[in-house]
Amino acid sequence: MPIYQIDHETVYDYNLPVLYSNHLAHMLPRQVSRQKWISHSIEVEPNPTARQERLDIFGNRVLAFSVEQEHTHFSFKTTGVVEVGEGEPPKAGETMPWEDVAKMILHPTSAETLDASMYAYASPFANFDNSVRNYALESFEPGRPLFDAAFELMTRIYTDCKYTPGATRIGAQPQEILRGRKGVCQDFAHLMIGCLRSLHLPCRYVSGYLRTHPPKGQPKLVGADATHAWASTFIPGHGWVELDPTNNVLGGCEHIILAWGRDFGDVSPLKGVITGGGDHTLRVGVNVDLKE
Amino acid sequence: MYWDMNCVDTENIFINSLSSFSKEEFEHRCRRLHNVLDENDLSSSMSGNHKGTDPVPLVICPEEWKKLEEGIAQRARLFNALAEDIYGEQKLWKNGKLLSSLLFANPDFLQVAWKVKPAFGTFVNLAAVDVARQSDGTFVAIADHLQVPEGLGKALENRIGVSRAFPELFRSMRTERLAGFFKKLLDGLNELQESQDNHDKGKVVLLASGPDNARRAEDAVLARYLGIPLVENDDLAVRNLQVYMKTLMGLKKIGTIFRRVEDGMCDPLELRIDSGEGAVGLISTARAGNVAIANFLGTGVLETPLFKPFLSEICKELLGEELLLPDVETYWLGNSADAKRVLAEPEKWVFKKIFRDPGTFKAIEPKAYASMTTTAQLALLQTIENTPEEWVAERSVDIATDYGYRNGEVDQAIALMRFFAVNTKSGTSVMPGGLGIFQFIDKSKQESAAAKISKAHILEDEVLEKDIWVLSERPVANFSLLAPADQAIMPSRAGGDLPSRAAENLYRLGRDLSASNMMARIARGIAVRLSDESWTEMPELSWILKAGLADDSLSMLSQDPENALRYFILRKDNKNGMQCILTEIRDLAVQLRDRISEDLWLYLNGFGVAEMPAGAGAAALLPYLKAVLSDSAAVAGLAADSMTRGHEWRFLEIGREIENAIRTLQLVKSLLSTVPADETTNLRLLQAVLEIGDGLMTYHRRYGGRLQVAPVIDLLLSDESNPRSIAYQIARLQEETSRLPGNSSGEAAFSPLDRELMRVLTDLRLANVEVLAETVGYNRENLVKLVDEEIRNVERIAETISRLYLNHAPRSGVVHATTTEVSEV
Repeated sequence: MPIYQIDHETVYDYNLPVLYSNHLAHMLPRQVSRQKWISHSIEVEPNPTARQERLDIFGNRVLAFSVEQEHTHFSFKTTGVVEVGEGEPPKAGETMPWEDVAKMILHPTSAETLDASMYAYASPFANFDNSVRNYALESFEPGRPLFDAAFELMTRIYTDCKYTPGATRIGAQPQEILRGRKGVCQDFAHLMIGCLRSLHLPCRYVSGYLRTHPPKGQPKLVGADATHAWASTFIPGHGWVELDPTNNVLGGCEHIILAWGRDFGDVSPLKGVITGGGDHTLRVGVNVDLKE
Repeated sequence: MYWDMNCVDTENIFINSLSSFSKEEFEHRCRRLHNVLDENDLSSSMSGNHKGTDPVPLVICPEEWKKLEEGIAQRARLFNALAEDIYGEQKLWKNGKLLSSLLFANPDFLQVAWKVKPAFGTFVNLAAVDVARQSDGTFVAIADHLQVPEGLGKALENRIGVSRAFPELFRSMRTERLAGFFKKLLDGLNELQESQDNHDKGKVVLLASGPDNARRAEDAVLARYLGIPLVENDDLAVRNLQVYMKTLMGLKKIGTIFRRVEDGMCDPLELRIDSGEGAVGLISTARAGNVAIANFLGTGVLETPLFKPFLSEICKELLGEELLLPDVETYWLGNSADAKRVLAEPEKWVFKKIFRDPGTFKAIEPKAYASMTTTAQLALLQTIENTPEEWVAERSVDIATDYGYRNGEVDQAIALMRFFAVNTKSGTSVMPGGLGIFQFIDKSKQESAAAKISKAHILEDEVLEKDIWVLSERPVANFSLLAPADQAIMPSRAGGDLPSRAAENLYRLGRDLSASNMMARIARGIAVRLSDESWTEMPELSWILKAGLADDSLSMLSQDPENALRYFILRKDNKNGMQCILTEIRDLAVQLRDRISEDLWLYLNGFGVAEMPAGAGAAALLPYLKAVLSDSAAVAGLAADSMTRGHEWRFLEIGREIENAIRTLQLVKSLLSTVPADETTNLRLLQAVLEIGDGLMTYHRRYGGRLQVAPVIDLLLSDESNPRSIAYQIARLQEETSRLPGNSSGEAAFSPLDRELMRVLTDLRLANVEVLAETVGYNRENLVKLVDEEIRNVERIAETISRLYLNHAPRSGVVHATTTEVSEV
């Protein structure tokens, strides 16, 4: 199983002093079955005044902190070493018909299905309308096994939409993505999520990193050296299956998970509200290096 | 019996007692009620379509109340337990009986509140429920309000009005008092802090919605009655996981927030980023257990009608009890069998969306349905059939007939009742009384029984309010929050707790009061002259016109001065006109409602609201100007008489003095900087400047009838015994600012503010009026130089005060706040 070193740096420079600021970070490592964090550290400058770590409803470790001294420079750096493996994908034709899953999700009978149902409804950044539903239905013929339909949907999004940085605003809704058929990983994940939810199926937004490959014969995976986002759907009897519509692959040992939620808004890596500051410049640097 | 009783048979003791009043006496009582309510001005601001309060209260007899009270209390406990489960274990959802959409499809489910524990496990501190009495005498719950229940302030106001109008009935009928309930609410808010680690007790504050929110008026009523400070988001600061109130004396710790803003608006960091209300970091602070919030975050989730079909089951599950006060029969249309039945006879149901609708969707009632075109009806049914899981249907309620008073008759009406309950550490208490909302039955329209039900949602229609009298079997003890039987009910309000925002509003009010006064005096000077037939021969008029109305075009001034004057005095759209200032005074009064006395409020609320001049001619303007000036005098006198000499008074005074100084300097400059060619004009100008500067009487007493420039300048600029002089204003400013925090004259060195004030005062004291009166050509250059210099100085002083103490962006918007003066409630 590959081991990566990940460095992630976010730096703000302000032209006027910031008097105080409050932040929320979704960048603490999360242990999941297919990935194990070996080490992790965070460095914040200036030093936070108040610091609170907690688990959110999605199981992510959230860091809330404030900086209450005047500053014009703010940086948040994380360094982690993580071992990542493949999940076991379900077999084609062997999963439950999708309509049965939708019913289970509406009437949950276990902690697991109740948890999954949290991701089955419209959320602030992943809404849907009839156009989204109709687009999804092309793959969801009656009685079709959920995994088969979801995989096909992922491939269709990959084929139909063009990866175009700057084409969309942050937080564009699935129906807008569907109309424009362009966007970035976040948008394609949101579209996939909107499609599944329009059929009352659970789907969550996964935030993380993607391994970079040098361009040697094979096509370069998009989203290199930046944060990445993909989707994950719940298949009863099997568990969560990660689908990356940006690259038309299942989530595997090149997808490193940071956090998940209903949509981008739940797991934005670092957000803040500042008082003062004037204009700012932002620099984000991500490095994913294969250690062994 | 003097009465036309349209009702033949009633058990309402109040109505049966009316025969003891003559009709005239009853009308007199009604006027008394309306006077009380008008003074408070709550009704008109609470909702645009409110038509007043009915003199006839709803009466609930003791046996009936006992059952009802139990039912209301049970619902308050039940919803609290439900919130605890929703944000905790979610055990109700793990057996497949309840829909997962009840939790996770609801936009009011607050993810960030998950597993956060409120103090004593109390999520719902204050609950409200709308109840209807059905024709068969049973009660049914229509809707529950569990996040920011509205109407408590209105109930209080109606009680004050009706109990004052009919004090003898109020007592003889043994009506239960409301004050005890408010004490429990306040005690409950206080005790929430007991669970906080810190020994340093924080304040209990009411976090109000913004000034343009319809609820704001009621927020002010509650804050005043409970005796807790009303704060806005600007007043709050979160530092190191602790919430503080920004005051003139620095940050004051807050222990409990009685919030009147919605869940999503409480913290822009973790909730809606665009929320103008609330405080950044509030969620973290609440999580850390450092501040109590009532009602707790996330309680909005409880308000969906989708709980109704399941509530009696939930009650058994969570409390192990039967539901005592049942809900109106409700079906979720996502269940196809129910949907089929309901849609077979759509005219008998009320259709509601299950969740808060971001659009403007309102419940569709039978009456509304019946009035739709066939096409529209089909379209609605189609919408419901397409998305049945988004809808519930409620059965029409057959509401029992009640009574109200209109046009000299007691007439039939139907009413809804909103009741309130508090959950505290020691248990649940229900307010013995409430807010009645009712409509008369329109007999002329022959309303069918089916149409009657639409009144179940009369909250949204044109409605009247009613007090609700719960009768007691035993004599009722006299108890009021304002005359406490034991101590510690009304925390005293020390001057140091003045929030910076309130200080700013008082300062602006002071400035506006002075500005309006000077404007009215100049306008009067012009109007008096214009109303003289020989005004064209008054040479001084053009000077005064320029002094007062210089912002208007000068050509208009000379061609049609009367119209220019009217434009200045009356036009609301004239940004430099008097009406703008008058409107701002009234708006500021509203924002300061919880800090100013009753009488002052009455004057400020009606400031400049006099009868507008009728007819042409400048003379017609004089009565209006007189009214503005007498409002001005009344406010000055009342403020001086009734305000304690704390920081509130201080900022009002500082604002007045700064504006007075600037305006008087400008007056002197515009009337005395140049010298007219002839002596008559000169004398008339001196006369005018004294008249407008309010120094004529003093001058004549001192110097007799001879007008000369030097003594006039002395009187207006340097004479510290003249309260209208600039020197006097500056000396007063020095006195008041020396008492401001951090500007104490006890320090060895003078503060920059002191120094600036001393410079102006010294300039004025050392000024040689003979030199100032000297002319070079037609100009009094020395006077102009001094006046210009001092205008700049005073403006700089104003900036310094703003920077040091105020420094809040002014908030826009208008609210109408209200009063509470409580006798027996």
